[in-house]
Amino acid sequence: MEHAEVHIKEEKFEISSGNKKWAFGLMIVGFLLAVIGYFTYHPHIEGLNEHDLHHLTQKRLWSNLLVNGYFFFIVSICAAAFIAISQIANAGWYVAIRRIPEAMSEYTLIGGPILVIVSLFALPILYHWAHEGIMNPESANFDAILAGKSWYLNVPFFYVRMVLFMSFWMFCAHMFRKYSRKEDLEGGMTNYTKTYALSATFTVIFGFTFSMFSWDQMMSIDAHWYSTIFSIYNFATGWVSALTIMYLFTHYLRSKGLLNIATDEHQHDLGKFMFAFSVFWTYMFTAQFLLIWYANIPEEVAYYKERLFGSYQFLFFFILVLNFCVPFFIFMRRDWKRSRKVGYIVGAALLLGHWLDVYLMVMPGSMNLATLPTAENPGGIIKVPFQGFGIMEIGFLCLFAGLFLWMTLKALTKANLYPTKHPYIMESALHDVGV
Amino acid sequence: MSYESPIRDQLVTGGKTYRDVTRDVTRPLENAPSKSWWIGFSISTLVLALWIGATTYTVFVGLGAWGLNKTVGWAFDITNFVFWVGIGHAGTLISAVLLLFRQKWRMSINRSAEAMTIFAVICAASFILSHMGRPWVAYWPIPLPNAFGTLWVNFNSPLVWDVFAISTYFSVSLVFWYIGLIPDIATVRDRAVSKARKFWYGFFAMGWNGSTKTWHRYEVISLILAGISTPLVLSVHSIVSMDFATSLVPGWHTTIFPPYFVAGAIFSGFGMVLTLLIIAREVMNYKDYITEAHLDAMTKIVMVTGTMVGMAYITEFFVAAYSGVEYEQYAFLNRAFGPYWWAYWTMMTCNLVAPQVFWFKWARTTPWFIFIMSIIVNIGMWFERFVIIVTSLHRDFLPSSWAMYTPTITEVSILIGSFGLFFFLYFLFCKFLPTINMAEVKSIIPTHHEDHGHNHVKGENHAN
Repeated sequence: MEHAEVHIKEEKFEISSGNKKWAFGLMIVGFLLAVIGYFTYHPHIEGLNEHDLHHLTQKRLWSNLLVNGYFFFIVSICAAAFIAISQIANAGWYVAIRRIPEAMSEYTLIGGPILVIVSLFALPILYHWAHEGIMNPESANFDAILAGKSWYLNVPFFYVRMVLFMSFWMFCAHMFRKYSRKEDLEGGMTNYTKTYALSATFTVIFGFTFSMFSWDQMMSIDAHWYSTIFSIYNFATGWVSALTIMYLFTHYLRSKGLLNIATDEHQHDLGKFMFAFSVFWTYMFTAQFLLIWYANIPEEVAYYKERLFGSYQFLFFFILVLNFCVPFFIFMRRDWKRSRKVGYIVGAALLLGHWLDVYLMVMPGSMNLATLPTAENPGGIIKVPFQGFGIMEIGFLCLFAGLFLWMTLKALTKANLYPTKHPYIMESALHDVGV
Repeated sequence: MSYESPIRDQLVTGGKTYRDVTRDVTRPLENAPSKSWWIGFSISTLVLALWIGATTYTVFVGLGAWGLNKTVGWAFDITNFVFWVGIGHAGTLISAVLLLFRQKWRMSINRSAEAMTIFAVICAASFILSHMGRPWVAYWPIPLPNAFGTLWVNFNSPLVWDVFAISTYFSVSLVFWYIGLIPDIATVRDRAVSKARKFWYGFFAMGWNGSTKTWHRYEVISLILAGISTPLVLSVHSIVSMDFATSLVPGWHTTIFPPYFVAGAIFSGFGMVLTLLIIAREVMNYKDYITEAHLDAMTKIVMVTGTMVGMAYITEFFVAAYSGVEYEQYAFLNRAFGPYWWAYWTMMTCNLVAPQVFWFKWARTTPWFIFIMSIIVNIGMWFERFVIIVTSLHRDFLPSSWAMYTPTITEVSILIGSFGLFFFLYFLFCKFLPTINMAEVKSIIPTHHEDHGHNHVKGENHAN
C-alpha cells in the first residue's frame, strides 16, 4: 500500500534563523545568568569562616560546570553507543533517524575537551580524595580509607584514564559518522561492514571503560562510598536522555516538514524505548537504593541519608516522579507516544529529570567542605546543606544546552538528513510497528 | 514490517511450503516414537527415579542427609534452585522480549524454549520444597489468614517475595505457552484420525476455528502477555538475587546483584536452549527451521550476556578492593585464592573466557562445537551460584566457626536426578505437543504473496 509513496531522496537540513536565535540565545542568556549567579551567591552558614565561604562559591561554580559537562557528554556518547548497538543488533527500523544520533555525537568534539578542562580545575576543588595531604600519613588531613584507594584514585591515573577513554570513544563516534557519510556517496556494503566491526569493538570496550569513567567522574565525589551498580545506573541515565533527545529531534524535524521518511511509527518506537528504558533506569535506581536502604550499613547509607532525609529530599522524590511516573503513565498510551504535544512534555520532563539526577549525584558530595578531622568529626567533613536551585544552575544549564543544540544542528547540516544508501533504509522507510 | 532487506538471512530454508511445515512438525506426534526417543526417555526416567529416591530419603531422614553444617547452612539446595530458575529465563526472553523487539527468528525456537522455562521452574521449585525439611508444611510461606494462629509470613523477607515472584512467573509462563499452543493444537486436532486424539486435542484447542477474529485476539493477547512477561524476565531473578543481596554477608551484599543475576540467567538459559535445540534439530531433522542463522543469533546472545556477567565479576572484585572494607576484600580474595579457588576459576573460565570464542563466525555456526560450549556455559553458571553461596558463607565473621562444605551422595543424586525430571518432562513434551510453532513459522516462510497481511496467510493455512 505505502510502497508507492516512498522515495529515497537526498534531503538536506539548513539552520534557520530561528534555530540560531534559540541556540545562541540560550548560550548568551545562560552565560549571563551564570555570571550573575556566581557574583550574587553569598552563602551564609553558621560556623564557617570567610575562607570557607569563598571556597563554597568556587565549589558551586565548578559543581555546576561538572554537572553539565558530564551530563551533555554522556548523552552525546550514548548517542554513539545507540548507533553501535543498533548496528550490531542488525536493527533496520532506526535507519531513517540515524543521522540524529550521529549529529548528537558530534557534540563530543567540543564537550570532550570541555569536560577535561573542567576536571582539571574541579579535581582539587570538588573531589575530597584529591585534596592536599589526604593520602599522606604525615599530614593533618590524612584519611586512612582514602589513602587505601590511592592505587586507583590518584591524579595522574585519573587523567590517563579519562583522556584515553574519551579519545577512544570520540574516535569511534567520528568513524561512525565518517563511514555513514561515505556510504551516501559510494553505496555498497563496504562502509556498513566496517561500521559493524567497529561497533562490536566499541560496544565491548565502551561497556568496561564507561564503568570506570562513571566511577571516576561521579562515584569518587563521595569518595568513601561505593556501589557496584553505579556505572550501569549512570549508563541508564545517559541512554534514556539520548533516546529522548533523538525522539524530540525527530518530532521537531518532522514538524518543519523535513525528514518525512520518519513517520509516527518511528516516533512510536522511540517512545517505546523511552518508556522501556525509563523502567530500566528505575530498576537500576531500585537495585541501588533498595539494597543499600535494606542492609542499612552505615558506610553505604551515608550516601542516601543526605539525599533522602536531608535538604535534598524534595529533589530526590521529584526525580523519581519525572523519570519514572511521567514516562510510565503517559507513554503507556499508544497515541501519546505518537503525539508531538505530549511527546514534547514527556521529553522535557525526562531530560530535566535525568539532568537533575546527575545534579543530585554531584552536589551533595561536592559541596561538602573538608576540614581537619577532630574528635567530634573524625571524617573531617562539614556537611553543607542544599544551597538552592538558583540562576547559576539555570544559567549553566542554558549555556550547555545551547551549545549542545548548536553543535547538533550544525552537524545535521553536514550530511543528508537520512542515509540514502544504507542497506536497511527501505526497511526503515516502510517501517510499521504492527499490532 | 512490510518490507525486508535482501541482505537478511532467510529464517526458514529448504524451500518449505506450508504443508511441509505441518508435516514436519506433527510427524513425531502422529507416528510411533523413534528409537532415539525411547532411549532418551528411558534414561531420563531412570535418572528421575534417582531424584525420587534421593528426595524421598531426604524427606524421611531430614536435612541431616545433606552435608550442611552450622556455618554453611545453605549450599547445594539453593545453588540448584537458582541454577534452575536461571535456566528458565531464556524461554521468557525469547517469547516476550524478542516478541516486543519484533525478532522473527524467535518463531521456530520459542515453543521449546518456553517449555524449557516451565520444566526448569518445576525443577527449581522442587529444591525449595525439599530444602524446607518438612515439605508437608510447604504452604506456610503463603500468607494465609489467621487460621493457623496469629503468625503471618514476614513480608520484609526476600524469601517471601521469592514465593510470589516464582509463582507469578510460573503461572504467566504457563499461560503464555498454552495460548501460543492453541492454534497448533487445533491443527493437530484437525488432522487427527482416532477418536481419542480428536477429543483430547479438541479439548485443549478450546474450540479454535482459525477465523480472523480468533487470530486477531490471539495476536492481541500475545502482545499483552509479552508486556506482562517482560518485567518478569527482570523481576524474578532480581528477587532471587535479593535473597542474598539484602543480607550483610560480604560477597552477597552488593548492589549489582539484580541485573547481574538476570544477565547470568539469560546466559545460562540460552546455554540450555542451545543444548536442547541442537539435539532436536539433529534428531527430528529440523535443520531448515533451526538454521545456522538461529545458532548464530543465539551464540551472540551467549557471548554478550557472558561478557556482561564477566564484567559484573570484575566490577565486584574491583569495588571490593576500592571499598576499603577489609571483610569485602577478604571475601573476594578467599573466593579466588581460598580453598574453593577451583570453583571460582571454573566459573571465570566457563562464563567469561570461553564464550569469547563466539567472536569467530566458525564457532557460531558449527553445531557440535556450540553443543560443547552450551554445556560449558551451564557448568560455569552452576559454579557461579556455588561460588557465590558457599565461598561467602564458609568463612564467616568468626574464624573459630570457619568450615568447609562437601555435598553428600544424597545431594549430588538430587542434583543429577533433577536433570532426569527436566528431560523426562521435555521428552513427553516432544512426543505430545508440536515443538515448533507451526502457525508463526508459516508467517515467515518466503512467499510470493508479500502484500497479504499475516493474518490472512495464517488464516487460510492453519489446518493444512
